[in-house]
Amino acid sequence: MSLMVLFWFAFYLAHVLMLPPLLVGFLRLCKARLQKRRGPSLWQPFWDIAKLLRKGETVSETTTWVFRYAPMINMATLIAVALMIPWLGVASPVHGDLFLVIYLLALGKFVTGLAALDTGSSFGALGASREAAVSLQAEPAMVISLAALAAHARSSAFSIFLAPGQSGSDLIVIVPLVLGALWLAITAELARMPVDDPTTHLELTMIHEALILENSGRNLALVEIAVALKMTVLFGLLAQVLLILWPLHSPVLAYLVSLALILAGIATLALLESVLVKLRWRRIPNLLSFALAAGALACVVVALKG
Amino acid sequence: MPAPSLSLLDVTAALWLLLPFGALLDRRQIYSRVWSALIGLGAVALLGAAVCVPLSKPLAFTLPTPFYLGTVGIAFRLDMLAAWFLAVIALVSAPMALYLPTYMEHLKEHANLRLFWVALPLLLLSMVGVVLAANVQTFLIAWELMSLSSFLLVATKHREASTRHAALLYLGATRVGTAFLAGGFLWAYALTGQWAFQDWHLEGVRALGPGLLLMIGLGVKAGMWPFHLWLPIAHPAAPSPVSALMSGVMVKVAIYMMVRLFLLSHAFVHPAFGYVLLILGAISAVWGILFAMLQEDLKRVLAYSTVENVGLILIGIGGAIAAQAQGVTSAVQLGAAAALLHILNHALFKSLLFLGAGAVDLRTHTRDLTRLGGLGRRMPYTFGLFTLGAAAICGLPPFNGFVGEWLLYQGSLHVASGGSTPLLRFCGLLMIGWIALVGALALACFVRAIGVVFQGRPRSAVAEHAQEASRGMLLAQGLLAAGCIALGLGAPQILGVLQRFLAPLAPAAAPLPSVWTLPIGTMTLVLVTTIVVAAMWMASAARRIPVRRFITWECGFGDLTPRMQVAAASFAQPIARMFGALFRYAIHLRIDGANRRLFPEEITVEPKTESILESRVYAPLVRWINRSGEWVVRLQAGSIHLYLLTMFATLLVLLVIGGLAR
Repeated sequence: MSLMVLFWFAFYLAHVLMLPPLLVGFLRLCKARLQKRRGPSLWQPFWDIAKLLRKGETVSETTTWVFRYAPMINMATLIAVALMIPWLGVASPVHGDLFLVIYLLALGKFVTGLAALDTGSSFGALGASREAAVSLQAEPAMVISLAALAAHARSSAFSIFLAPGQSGSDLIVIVPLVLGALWLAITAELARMPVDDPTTHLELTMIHEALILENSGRNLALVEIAVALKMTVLFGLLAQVLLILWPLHSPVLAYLVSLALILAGIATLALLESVLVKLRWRRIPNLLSFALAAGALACVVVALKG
Repeated sequence: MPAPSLSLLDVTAALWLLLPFGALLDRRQIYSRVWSALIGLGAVALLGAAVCVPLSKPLAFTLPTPFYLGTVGIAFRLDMLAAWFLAVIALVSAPMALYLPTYMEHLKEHANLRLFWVALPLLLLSMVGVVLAANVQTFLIAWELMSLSSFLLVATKHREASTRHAALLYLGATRVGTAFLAGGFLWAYALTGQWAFQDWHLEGVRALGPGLLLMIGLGVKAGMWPFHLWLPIAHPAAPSPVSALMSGVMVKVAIYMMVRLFLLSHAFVHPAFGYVLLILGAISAVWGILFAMLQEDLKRVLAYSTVENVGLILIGIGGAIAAQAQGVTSAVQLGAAAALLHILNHALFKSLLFLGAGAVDLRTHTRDLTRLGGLGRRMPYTFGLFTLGAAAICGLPPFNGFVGEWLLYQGSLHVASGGSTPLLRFCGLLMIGWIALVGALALACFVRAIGVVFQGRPRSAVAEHAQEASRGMLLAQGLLAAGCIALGLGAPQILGVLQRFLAPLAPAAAPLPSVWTLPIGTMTLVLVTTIVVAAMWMASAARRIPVRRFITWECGFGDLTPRMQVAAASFAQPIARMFGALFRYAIHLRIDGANRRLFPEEITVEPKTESILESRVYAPLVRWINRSGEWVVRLQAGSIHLYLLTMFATLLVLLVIGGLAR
């Protein structure tokens, strides 16, 4: 029994270490190909991170211990989250609970926001303020859409409400609504288009890049690893929501399909980022209210069916 | 008496009753350490009394015959619920004893401390009295003593006009509350013929009248929306340890009565109570934290956040009552447990935060967010403890705030999946989203508060020259912080305690400790391991290539000034705009100068807020009362004819009423 747990622990940990940079590379490659560029190698994010890890860092004189430890805490929360969600299609090594995971993600946001304010730079503070404002809608949207699934399955444990192949004809309505709400919330959480453009050159207009403007070298490497991991896990979560509709009984098959779905999700993101423009800051609440509305509709369907 | 609880209670009462006399004799105000130690000893004895309470049957005791109130005795009753609240009182007042000496030393110049040392033990003792009161008369005596002693404490710095205003407003609020309470009690007595709370069992429509009056009376004290207006003004005006007591404990004493009357002893049974508490709690939560986000005074931020947390507690209580009425038995216990646990948790972290704010106030002589900043480097321990308290109040795992919020979520989920009607199930899901919104707002609010007070660069000279708080003050905060961690990690044990007296609410439901399936231990292990490994690696890497220290990136324009930092108001701006309709948020921009368009000389930007509750509801109400007061004054113009006429008319009206009543 404990050997099995150890195996899944190692299995998930290996994916936590290897997959995120690869997926970032895949995203960049997709975007490059859509723009008819050749693009960097799939392994480029690994080299980037390795280079950052080898470099020295410059730290503002204004900062305290928060700035030093925030990237580590943030990364640690994301590793814990990655071990709690069955995002690879197979049982997660640690029992995961919806509300625990949401609040762990919030812990990461808490320390990241504090680290940005620590420097006394207006960029960082604006980034922190904007991220807080965005997550004001993104977080409830994510919670209620997943809670709709949890109420349907009568448990907030990921292993139960994300179990593949659940019965219930209403799931055909619920799952697309949840997927829509989650997609919007996740793009906002990850600071991707159309909420935030990670490729602008002007930090003043950005959310996430403004937040981490002061991080450099090893500190920045930790942030980049955490961001890639967050993207991987959240897209894995999306894949599992979709898999609710398909009864895949073989774990190997479920694992392979999950990976394929994650790649498909990333490719879709690349496509959307290539055709969409970034929304004006003031229009973002309008966009995210669609996420809230879709989540609320999913709740209505769940409530009606009982 | 065989019970050790009662003898320990006697010790507490003796210590806290003697203290005022000693303090009155202390003319030169030099023995504050002694008085603090007495408070601490009393608190420890109180904690012992709470822990030693026997589980099987409640202890009832009355004072001997000379102490008698009309037809009833001064009676007390100690059961598990009362013990829970005694523990809350003790756990907050014990660290206070370590904090008080240095703080009071600083307060000496501003206030008469003899009054303070008289009022403080009376406040503590009266709270114990309210919790233990078994009948209406005992309750009201203790309640009034609590109101008056806390009024004196709020008025400690009465030489400041704003403090006088706050104290008077608070006194007015307590009068209104007591008026409602008295009405409710009399009504309940008229219906039942009993004064003891334990003998009240009103059901159906009969329960509505007295129940609602009592709910309003207790709600005023608890800071429930829309009766919370006095709270964010009165709590910050008091000295910080008293703010901690008022926010951490005193509002809970009012909630204690709600739990007792409406939920546990079934004194007033009607589903409407549950709905009212649920709705008002939900509004309080969002309203409180939104206004906390707008405040520029550190202690007022904390006071508004108390309104939020009271809202969360009321959601738990109201949810439990409503779930009981709707037959969702599993949610009853979860809601009640969430409320009781959050009461204890909030007592710990809100006291911690108020003590931290008090340390900042003591070292910088300001609580104004526009003048603070950069204290993290100057007061590192206070900073760390305040950050921990903020993480706990935002409900972040693995701290204690998370446990209560998780139970609330879980209770809502039980309603969402087990409710009997679609509307009920939808309301359960809606509540989940609502609590998530409150959580996200709290996070933003406390990131802002910490960032502006402790981080960045100092915005004024006082903040620049601040020093770390004294050892006793840090120790007090450290104890409270340790409590926050212990209650977070020891959730199963504490749920086991709650299970013992909440089990009768829903005998069929799964026991609470078995509901708590979260891998908090494993999660903490993963977190700590990752952080330690990463930190060790970073440290070794820093030895190879040293970290360069340099100024914050300024785009090459020369060093930044503290004024260029994002201020509290600008951090809140995006969120304030989203909810602007609730407080008529507007930004006033003024540009001055000879050539305004091309060469502005002075630009001022100021956000303006105005609460619609205050401007649209309370202000007209106050105007109306004043105007009708003027009209009444005309009757009192000194004309004897008018007086005779009034008396005659009153007699006539009374005769008519008497005749109709027969």
